[in-house]
Amino acid sequence: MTMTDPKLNKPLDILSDKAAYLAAQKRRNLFIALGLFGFVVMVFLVSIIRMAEASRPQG
Amino acid sequence: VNAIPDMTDTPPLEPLSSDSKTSTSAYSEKALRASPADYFQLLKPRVMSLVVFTGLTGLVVAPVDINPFLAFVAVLCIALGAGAAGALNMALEGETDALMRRTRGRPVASGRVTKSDALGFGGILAFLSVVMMWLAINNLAAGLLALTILYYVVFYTLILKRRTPLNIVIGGAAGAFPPVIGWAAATGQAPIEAWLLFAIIFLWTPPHSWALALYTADDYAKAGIPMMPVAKGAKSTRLQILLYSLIMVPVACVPIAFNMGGLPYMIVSGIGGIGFLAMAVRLFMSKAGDHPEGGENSLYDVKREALWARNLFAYSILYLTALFAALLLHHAFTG
Repeated sequence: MTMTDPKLNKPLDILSDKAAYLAAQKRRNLFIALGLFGFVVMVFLVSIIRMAEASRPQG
Repeated sequence: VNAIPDMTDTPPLEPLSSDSKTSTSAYSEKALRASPADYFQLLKPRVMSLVVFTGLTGLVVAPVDINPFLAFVAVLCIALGAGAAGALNMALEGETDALMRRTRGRPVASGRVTKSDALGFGGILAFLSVVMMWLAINNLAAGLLALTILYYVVFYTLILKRRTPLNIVIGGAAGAFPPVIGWAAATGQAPIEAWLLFAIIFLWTPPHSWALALYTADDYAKAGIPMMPVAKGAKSTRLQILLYSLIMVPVACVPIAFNMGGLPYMIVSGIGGIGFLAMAVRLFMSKAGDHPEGGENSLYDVKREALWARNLFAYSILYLTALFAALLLHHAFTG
C-alpha cells in the first residue's frame, strides 16, 4: 500500500514501515528479555555465594 | 556518576533541523525504529569505560580480597549506575544537546529515543544497579552509588550546570566517586586512601573539561551553558587550568606516600605530572579560545590557535588512565 506523505512529498509505504517498526520492537523486546534473564541468573548466583559464605565456619 | 564530558562522543553530523527540538516529545518515526544500540548509546559507553576502570582500580587497590564473581557484580553495578546517570542526563538535556554539534547526534537529541523512554530506561537501571549493589555487596557501596547518581542527575545536571561556571568543578565530584565505591565494595569502608583517589579525579576534571570547553565555547554559549570560557573568557580559563594543574599534579603524587602504587606509579605520576604541567603552561601562554570556533567535525580536529587546548584535553585522558593503570597493575601483580 503506497501513499504520499504530504509533508515530505515522498511515497509512504505504510506496510513496510509497520514491518520495520515491529521488527525494531521485537529486537528491543529480545534485549529486555536477555537483560532480565541475566539479572535473574546474577541474583541466583549471588544468593548461592552469600549462603555459602554464611554457612562457612567462622574464624 | 560522571561529570566528565563525553569526550570521545563523535556523533554523525546531521544538519540541525527544526524538528530536532520537538522530536524529543513524541514518538517520531525514528523513535519507532529505535534499536538496542540506540539505548546502549544512552549509557555513554565511553564515559562508562573510564568509570569502570577507576571503579575497578579502587576495588583492586583495596587491601581485602573479594570473591571474583562478587567483584564482577560490583563493577557491573558501577557500570550500570554510570550508564543510568548518563541516560537520565541525556533525557533531561535532550533539547540542549540538540543545539550543540558535539552532542546533537545523541539518541534523545536526534529523536531516535523519546525523552520519556530515556527517563524510564535510566530510572530502572539506576534502581536495579543500586538494589543489586545493596543485595550482593554492602550498604556503603550501594549508598555511595545512589548518592553518585543523584548528585550527577539532580545536583549537577538540573541545578549546577546552567547556573554557575563552577558547574564542572563542583559537579566533578560525581565522576570522582567510582574508586571510592569500588573500595567500599571490597572492604565495606571508605578510608583516606580511597578519598585520595577521589581527590585526584576531582582535581583533574576542571583542567580536562575546560581544555575542551576552550575550543567548543561557541556551542556552549549557543546552548546557554555558562562554561568557564563562556562566563569568564578564555584568558581567565587558561589561568585557572594552570592553577588547578598546579594543585592536581602534587596531589596525584601523594599515593606514593601511602605505598599505593610502587615504582610504576612513582614514574607515571612524576614524569606524567611534569608533562601535564608543561602542557598547562604552554596552553596558558597560547591564545587558545580567544576566537572560539564552536567545534569542528571531531573533538580532535581544531584550528591551529586551539591546538594546545586540544593537546591538553587528549593528554589529560592519557594521564589519568596511566595513573590508574599503574595503580591497578601494581596491586594486581603484587597483591
